[in-house]
Amino acid sequence: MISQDDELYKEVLLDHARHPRNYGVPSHPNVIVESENPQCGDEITLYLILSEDHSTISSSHFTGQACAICTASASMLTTKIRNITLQAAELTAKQFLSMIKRPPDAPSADLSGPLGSLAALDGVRKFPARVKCAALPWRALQQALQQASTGGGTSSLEIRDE
Amino acid sequence: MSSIDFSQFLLPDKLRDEFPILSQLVRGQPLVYLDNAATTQKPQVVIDAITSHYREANANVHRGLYYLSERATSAYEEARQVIANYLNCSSNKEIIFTRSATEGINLLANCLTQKLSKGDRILLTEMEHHSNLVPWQLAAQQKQLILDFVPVLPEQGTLDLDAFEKLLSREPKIFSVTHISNGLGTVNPIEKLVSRARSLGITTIVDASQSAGHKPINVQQIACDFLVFSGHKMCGPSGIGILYGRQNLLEQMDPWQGGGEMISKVTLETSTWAEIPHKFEAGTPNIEGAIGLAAAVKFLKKIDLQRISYHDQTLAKLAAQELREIPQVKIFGPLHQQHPPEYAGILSFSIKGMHAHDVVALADRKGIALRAGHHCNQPLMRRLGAASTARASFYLYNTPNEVNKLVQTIHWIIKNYLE
Ligand SMILES: Cc1ncc(COP(=O)(O)O)c(C=O)c1O
Repeated sequence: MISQDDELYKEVLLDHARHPRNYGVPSHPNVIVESENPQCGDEITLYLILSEDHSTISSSHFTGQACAICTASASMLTTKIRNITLQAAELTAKQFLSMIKRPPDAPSADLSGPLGSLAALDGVRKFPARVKCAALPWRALQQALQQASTGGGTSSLEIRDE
Repeated sequence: MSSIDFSQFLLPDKLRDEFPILSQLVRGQPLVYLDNAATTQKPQVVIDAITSHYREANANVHRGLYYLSERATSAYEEARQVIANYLNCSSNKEIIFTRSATEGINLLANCLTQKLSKGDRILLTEMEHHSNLVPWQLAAQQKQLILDFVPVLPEQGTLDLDAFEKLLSREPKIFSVTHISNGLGTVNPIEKLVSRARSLGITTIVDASQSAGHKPINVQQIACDFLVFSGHKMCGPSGIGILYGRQNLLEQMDPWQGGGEMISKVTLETSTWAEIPHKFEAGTPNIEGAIGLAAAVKFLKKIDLQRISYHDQTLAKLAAQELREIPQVKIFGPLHQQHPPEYAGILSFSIKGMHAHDVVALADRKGIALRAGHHCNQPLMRRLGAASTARASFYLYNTPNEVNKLVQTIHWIIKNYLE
């Protein structure tokens, strides 16, 4: 372990970074978003598989090369965004992004709150340069959800700062 | 090259005491500042030169007929002389104060392409900083010019000199090249490159951002037409830079920016230009910046620039020797090899299975400041298959003990993060 009390590299986060869940290209995704932060070189491609009526996300997957924070964030995203409606996913993305964009000295997020273990990424607030790393997969998700509601397809996304 | 043992030239640790910022603790540990290729720390003499200018001598330059203005003007012009001496210029008229290396290159990219025509070529290299690339892209778009690039040999991290010869046969009008690569630490054979290009009548520009203040620089020996650098990378303040140009070329060029200071006679319809260097210094200049930079040059010369160069190299080599032994570490550039071609105090590396951001964020936990990223050199890093590397860059106040800390920290990161 890096350190018992490292505020950024928490054990659960490192676990996702070392063993990313839902990593790989699924067959027949309905939505693909290739997201990139050219400033730091993080690259995440997010894939959504939708229910037949396109109202629900059946599963999500990702590929790409990115730092531990970004990879863990993407991995945790895909475990959270599964068998939920597009609206519920949108709400989660909004909640997550507002959590990590609170001021550095705000109280720590609650692990028993609606975001569950995603609260482990709350620590990025204390490292402003890393907020964009945690945010990138969720920005990709936001774009993917818009696309999902308008018929699916592939798009790309470039983000520099949060 | 590598058979020479530079360790006898290591500078004394007590030099650190001249740099107030270095005595602080970072995250509870002594600060180990290894991001000198991005910017350097400032010695007390530079800080004092700037504050005493404001406390005792501040006035606008070249304007007032009173005591303070004369004093400020002579300090500003003396600063020009100090820089001219450092570069061994034939006249201090050849020194133009700019905001930075970036501004110097933008000036050249504007002024030197005015008279070029569609299809004319400009030769750059793959190892240029974005600031010696993007201004040429802008000029090329405007004037429909063609840019060519000397490739970098991926293993050595040096320029492909055979390709250079071939590209010269396309008859470029301008050749602009960095002296030292900020991403890889490669030292280019600058005199050879410049003399070859000049023998064909090509205008030559040297980006000395990573060599100024790290080595002696002699523009007459390099024999380039123009040379640029920034003050902040050599113990000077930010917001001040230098453009050196051959006197006859500067005289022939039209000005870049218009304003006060750069004119001789102005009517409502038209103006005539001041003599060089003032023709290229429109508006109130960065007076305290020039004075601070001159203080930095004096400080560095007193220590001895040749020794500083050996010191930087020795530390980079020591670090490379240790890191090369770690199987998970990959070094990029000349120091990748046991017997490297000429190199500077810059070491780029990556750890297998780790993104550079994490390497650098974890080094920060131990008080070590490294740089992660593409080092403003995206095309090169992409070509070397290193979208992002960690970079340690050394300067006169770094010590062998700090090299040890860096090496220990890399071991700690690998053990705790990867295992
Ligand atoms: C080789 C090189 N050229 C140019 C620059 C640009 O310097 P500045 O941003 O001070 O203009 C840098 C700075 O990183 C550099 O390393």
